Amino acid sequence: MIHPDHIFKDTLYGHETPLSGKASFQGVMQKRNNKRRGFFWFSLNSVLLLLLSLTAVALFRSPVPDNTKIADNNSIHNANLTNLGGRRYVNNKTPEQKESNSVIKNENASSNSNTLSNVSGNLAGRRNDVSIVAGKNPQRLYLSSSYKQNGSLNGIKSGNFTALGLEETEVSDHESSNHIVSDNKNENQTIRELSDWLKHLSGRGISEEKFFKFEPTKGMVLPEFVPFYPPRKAKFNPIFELNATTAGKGYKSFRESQDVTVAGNHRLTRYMGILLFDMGRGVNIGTGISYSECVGIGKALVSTYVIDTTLSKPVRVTKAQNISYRLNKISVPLAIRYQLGFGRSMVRISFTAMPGVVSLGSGTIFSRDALQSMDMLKRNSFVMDARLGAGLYYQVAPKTAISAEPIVQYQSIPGSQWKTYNRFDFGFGLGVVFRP
Amino acid sequence: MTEQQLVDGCIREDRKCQELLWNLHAKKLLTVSTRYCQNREDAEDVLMESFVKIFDNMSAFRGQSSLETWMRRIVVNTSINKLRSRKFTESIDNEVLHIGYSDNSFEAMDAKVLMGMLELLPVGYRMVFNLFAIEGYSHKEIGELLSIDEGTSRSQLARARKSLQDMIEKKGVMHT
Repeated sequence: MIHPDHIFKDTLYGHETPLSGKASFQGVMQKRNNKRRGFFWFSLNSVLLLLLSLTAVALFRSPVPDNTKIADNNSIHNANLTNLGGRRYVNNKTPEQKESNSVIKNENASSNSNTLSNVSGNLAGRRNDVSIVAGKNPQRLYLSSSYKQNGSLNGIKSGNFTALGLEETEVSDHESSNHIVSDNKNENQTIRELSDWLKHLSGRGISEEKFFKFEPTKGMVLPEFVPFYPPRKAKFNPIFELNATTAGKGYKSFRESQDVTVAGNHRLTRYMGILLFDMGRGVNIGTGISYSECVGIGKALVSTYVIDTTLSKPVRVTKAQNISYRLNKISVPLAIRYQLGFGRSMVRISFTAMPGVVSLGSGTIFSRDALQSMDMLKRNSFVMDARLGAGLYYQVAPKTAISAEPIVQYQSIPGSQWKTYNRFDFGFGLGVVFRP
Repeated sequence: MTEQQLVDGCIREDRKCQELLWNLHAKKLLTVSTRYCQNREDAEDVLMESFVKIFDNMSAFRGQSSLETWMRRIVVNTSINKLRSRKFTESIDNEVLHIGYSDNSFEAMDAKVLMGMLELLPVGYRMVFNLFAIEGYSHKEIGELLSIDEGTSRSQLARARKSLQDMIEKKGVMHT
């Protein structure tokens, strides 16, 4: 009885296999350096993104308005409403002017309507519940139940209505980039949205433009839901976005004839800086610059048949070949963003088309049936990539938001014969958005 | 230079010591990786990956075993990881025909022939046989390493032995 254990151990344990040229000490050191460099860049990118976010938060965070004075005086409705949104226009006026305005409007409000006073008072008392969210979102105003109970604007004139934050918010200044949400949990909230109201008003011959001068007639009964959508015109306010995306995918490809198998994976990192413009209604459009690095590794197994003279029959011989390539691109992204708001958090849908050029192509790819050098890829070849994402958009400060979104990405193939290059990748994008 | 001096030099990132370590052990360790891997290129990849790990983690070597044993363990683990990531190639590689040897005396079998026999074993048999018979792992250790139970390890070993015995007895052109 042959016991193979000893035969194999005795022969193979200390056996030395000669090295081919591929395995070398220099190769090991090169691998180590690549690994360290990859880790270094990953760490650096992470730290930079973190620092950028923290700096943005520190720089752009608005001071918290002083609530005390307002809370003590329920009758200063305009001031309250002004502060509700933390609106910038307040800062354009001197304290004396502000005080003066508040007093005047307060007088209007007080003298004209108890209803309005209640409304404003309630809003004023809940200033802490108010939040501002960047983006083109519907402005919502939650009114008090006293308003609902009255169900009309009897006796309220435009000046009072101004006190509710329409004229005073000066939509043209803010272009509804902020929205107001005042939450009244103790009363039955009446959510009144302007779009519905505009429909209601338009049914009565009042156009959207006239809305801000709207003077409800005596006895006019408002709908259950009163809208608060100021007309949002594109103001082209600039927004700056920095974005980093990682994506990757494994691939396998089997030829029907089973004589070629290609498998491996590639990963892509993309950095984008984009200047966007606020187009109104939550839409931003812009352009900028993008740089991407795509690194692929894999293996191709190619089988051929040779006639063995001893056996006089074809013998299949499989040869493994390594695939390794790097493809860098510089492109000009054309971006469109759409934000849907739900409080401070929003859902953002983003699409970016990225026409560009190849800045570096090196290594070996697998073409239709053989390895091929990336030299085939001419530098400056035109490429067109695209990226579609949908994810969370969170405002960390009045002028700063961060976005995190899963993405699907399309990469065009420069040279059409690649078998080891994925057109579609899935990944994740992180971004910081500044609103100057 | 003693083994400890060599280790200390590698910890200090002394390039000469690192190169010396490579020159001393690379060929032996290539035999180890070749026994596990499907082909020569994979084996060399594993060897290089293993040396990266060895240099990176040299400070973790505590001298509880010999340096070579520690390095062999790293190569074995790297080979197994590589095999796990390359499972898709198995279906093709198992079809590959190999021209064997013509010498009828197994005493005369050289390492190349034995390596050829090992290559013909299914991956599972080969790993268990390598780990148990050549590296000296216990079935418990093999079970933990390959995430299989001890009984499976024993049965795979028995089948591997049987296959190898058959090959040795046939001593001819082999194929699967």
